[in-house]
Amino acid sequence: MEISLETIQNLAPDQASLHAAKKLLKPAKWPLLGQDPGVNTIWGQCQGSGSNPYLTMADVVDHGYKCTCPSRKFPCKHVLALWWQFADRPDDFTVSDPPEWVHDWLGRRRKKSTSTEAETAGKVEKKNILLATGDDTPALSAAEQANKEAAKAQRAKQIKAATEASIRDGLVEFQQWVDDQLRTGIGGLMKEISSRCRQIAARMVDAKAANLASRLDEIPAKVLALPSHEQARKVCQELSQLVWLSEAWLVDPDDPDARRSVAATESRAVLLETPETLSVMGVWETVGEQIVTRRDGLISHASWLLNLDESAEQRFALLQDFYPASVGRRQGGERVGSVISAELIFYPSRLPLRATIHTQKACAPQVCDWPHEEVAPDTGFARKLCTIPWLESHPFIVSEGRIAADKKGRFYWRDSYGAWPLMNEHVSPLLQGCEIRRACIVWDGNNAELLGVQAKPWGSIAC
Amino acid sequence: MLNQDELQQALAVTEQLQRQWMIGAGEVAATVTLPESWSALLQGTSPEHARLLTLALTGQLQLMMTSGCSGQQSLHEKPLLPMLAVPTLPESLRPLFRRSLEGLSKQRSIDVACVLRLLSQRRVTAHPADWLPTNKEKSLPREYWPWCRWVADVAAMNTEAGETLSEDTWDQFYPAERLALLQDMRALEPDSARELIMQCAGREPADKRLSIVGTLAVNLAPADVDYLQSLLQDRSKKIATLASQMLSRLGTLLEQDSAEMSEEEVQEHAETYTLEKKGILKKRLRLRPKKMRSGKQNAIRTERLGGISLSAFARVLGLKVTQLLDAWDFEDNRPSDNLAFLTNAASTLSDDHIEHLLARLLSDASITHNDISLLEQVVARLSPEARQTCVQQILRGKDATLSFYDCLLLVESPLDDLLFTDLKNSGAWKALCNRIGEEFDGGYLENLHCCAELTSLGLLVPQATAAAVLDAVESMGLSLADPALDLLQLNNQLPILT
Repeated sequence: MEISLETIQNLAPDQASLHAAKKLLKPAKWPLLGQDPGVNTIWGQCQGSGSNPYLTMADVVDHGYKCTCPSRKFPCKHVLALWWQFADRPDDFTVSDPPEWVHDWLGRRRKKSTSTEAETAGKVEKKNILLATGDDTPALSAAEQANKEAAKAQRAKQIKAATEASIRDGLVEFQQWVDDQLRTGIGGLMKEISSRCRQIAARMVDAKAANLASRLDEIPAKVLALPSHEQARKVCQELSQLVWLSEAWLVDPDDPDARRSVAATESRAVLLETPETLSVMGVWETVGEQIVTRRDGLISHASWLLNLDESAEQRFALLQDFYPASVGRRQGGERVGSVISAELIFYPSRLPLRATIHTQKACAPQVCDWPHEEVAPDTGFARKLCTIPWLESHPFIVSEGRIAADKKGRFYWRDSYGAWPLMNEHVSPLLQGCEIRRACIVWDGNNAELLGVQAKPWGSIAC
Repeated sequence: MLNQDELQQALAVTEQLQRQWMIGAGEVAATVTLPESWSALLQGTSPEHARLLTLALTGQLQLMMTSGCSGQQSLHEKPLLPMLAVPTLPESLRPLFRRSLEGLSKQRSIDVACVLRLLSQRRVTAHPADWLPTNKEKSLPREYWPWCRWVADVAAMNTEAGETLSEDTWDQFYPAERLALLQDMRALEPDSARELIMQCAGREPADKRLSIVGTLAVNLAPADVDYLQSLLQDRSKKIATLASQMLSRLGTLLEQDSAEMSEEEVQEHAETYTLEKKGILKKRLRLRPKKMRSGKQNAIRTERLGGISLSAFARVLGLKVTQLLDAWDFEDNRPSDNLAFLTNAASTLSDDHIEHLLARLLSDASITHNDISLLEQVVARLSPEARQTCVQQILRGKDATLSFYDCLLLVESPLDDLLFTDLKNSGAWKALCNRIGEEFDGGYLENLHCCAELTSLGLLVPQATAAAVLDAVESMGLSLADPALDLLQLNNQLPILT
């Protein structure tokens, strides 16, 4: 079982892909590499720009492949890098049975003339793998390098100042808009909630307040999902939180929580270069997934990880990925119950939640109850709101309860603290019919979304 | 920090303000007195900014003060899913089981119950997160009855394990469970079972009553005659027909109670056939159909074949019933006539005659893959053990042209005994190998027929044979990761009873 560099060169969609693949050849980027000669298949997990590592797998004989990255190049740089590493260092690939995700792919794939297509496509543009192996940037002197860095810093400063000015104007406009809604009536806003929110969201995009725009864009979906008697109250609450957010940014644009919620999230590269980031090593279990198609066409894929160490201070981590709807919506819950031993790096925050995987290795499933705190979700959420008033929701592990339903068919999580209304439209009959030792819910102050449970005696079950 | 009274006051103000904002309000109305703690925050700000900050404060207060639902008395919980007496599938095999079910859902022709029966044979059950009954399945293994009861939400779901079926407990059992218990009862105490049916069947609707009366087929005996005679007057025609068929099996059906066909009509029907002798050395009777003049006449003959008393038919032809069964020419008769004849035979002939008919069918080379529905009619009358023997006999026959999928339709559970050495000599295996050789081009098997055959094999053979089949197909070049082999893999990896 082998593949030549020439074949990889032919399979690459363009020269840029080969260059990009070359940068992924470092073993540190691939915490897992494996092969099964019986099925001519190699696989690996590549830590890309997403928070979850990409699952990459390929056939070295018929050149079929799959990667979970959202790239629109086929094959993507991860697949090319996987083949390339196999061509260079086949011994780095541990011989083993294919893991579940590779087995799923093997089961689904059908033999196609991938290599022929790729080779044909390859003729359109000249590519050379040797070009990718060399360093194509001319060396600079120390002085030139310093000048370049200074110019770069100056440019960044100018861009930052221009962006902040733009956002400031945008937030002033947003507050004016909120005030208009209060003066003219929330009732009127609710009649035209989709169009009005879309309009102000578009203005925020123009003002470079992209994340605020996304949150505004999602308000109609959040509000309309609720029973009608709760909708007006929800609109007021959402607007009130966004007023808090805009005030926070206007007071301190460098506040990491406000900046991330208004403008944009730092890239993974920036995060890794930030010295004061919180890094937590531990055994993490995926306790729930939320996959939502947003109004802007992106699919938001949130994976909630729980630190299984009872004494850990940092209990939860959120791995957040976005990908275009065109690459296909994944099924939620597939990872629930999977466990990794990993070092997670958290985005700077007063309430660190969002994180990215720095290093990881697979881990055997743990047979233990999910650790939880003896606090009701509403009390816990109120405490979090004191820290970040515009917090949308927060995860909690609740314990020893059942799923109940009212006469209208709405579901509730019921435990010793009370009954918590669930946003889930469907709860499987199995979950309704079992004693739940632990459940992961995301509470937004009014309603909860049930994500995953540990049931007696059936183990971890995704919702 | 606000005290309880101040909090309540603040919440009341929040409600008032939100009511105002619903219809629109330029300024906070004079009637609304903001909490003192808020006033300090709003001091010195413009009216517009004060309005925004008030909105921010009210929203946060509401979010922080919201608690869970208060009216939980009106909520109801579903009863707990009962534990099954048999352990669940090992965790390591659950992904393979899920893949197997996914594969079956694509093929559609094989029922999930076949996989569950394979699991039952190895004394494991599905994990409820992977599979739960849907209230539609009818032939599930008994291990799953508690789940069926739970899914069906049967009123008295707290039926104790081991509780016997009686007039008092009749309604506490899930219908499919009740049928199986009745069949068990008929096998051990046929008279008690009949008494129970007489007492309870009347309260069920016609479709359920039909199935319940159908359980009398187990250990059908002359003692059942009186009850069956009474059912001839049942308000459901299907039940009256079933009773008449059972009486016919017992040979006690009186002419006046038989199907509405008169002696003249039987005679007329017999005249549409020619009885000939065939063969040079060993002369054999052969009943061939005469050519009819129109499609309408053909249809009438088919209809009569389905309802005629076969003993009367044989008598008019001057034959015994066994001679009629031997003489029937499957090649010359139309497929619809063959099916009607065998359906009638399977419903009305005695067990001895059924055995005779089955031997005839299995020895007839003209019965091929296309005639599986004929065989199914007759095999349905056999006990589960006899069905297994029948399928083993078919698979050991070199000339049999039935496929593995056909064989799967004939048995209720995977075969207890079938060696690979026997299997590899079968016509079905040779046909499968040839087909794989023609279709397989180095990738994954895509031919639907081959996939269905391998899936059927996985559900049909014992563990050792499944392992040997996997070795054999791997040597043909198939990848062990091929989804067509999922059920063979599951069969091979399932624990074996010791």
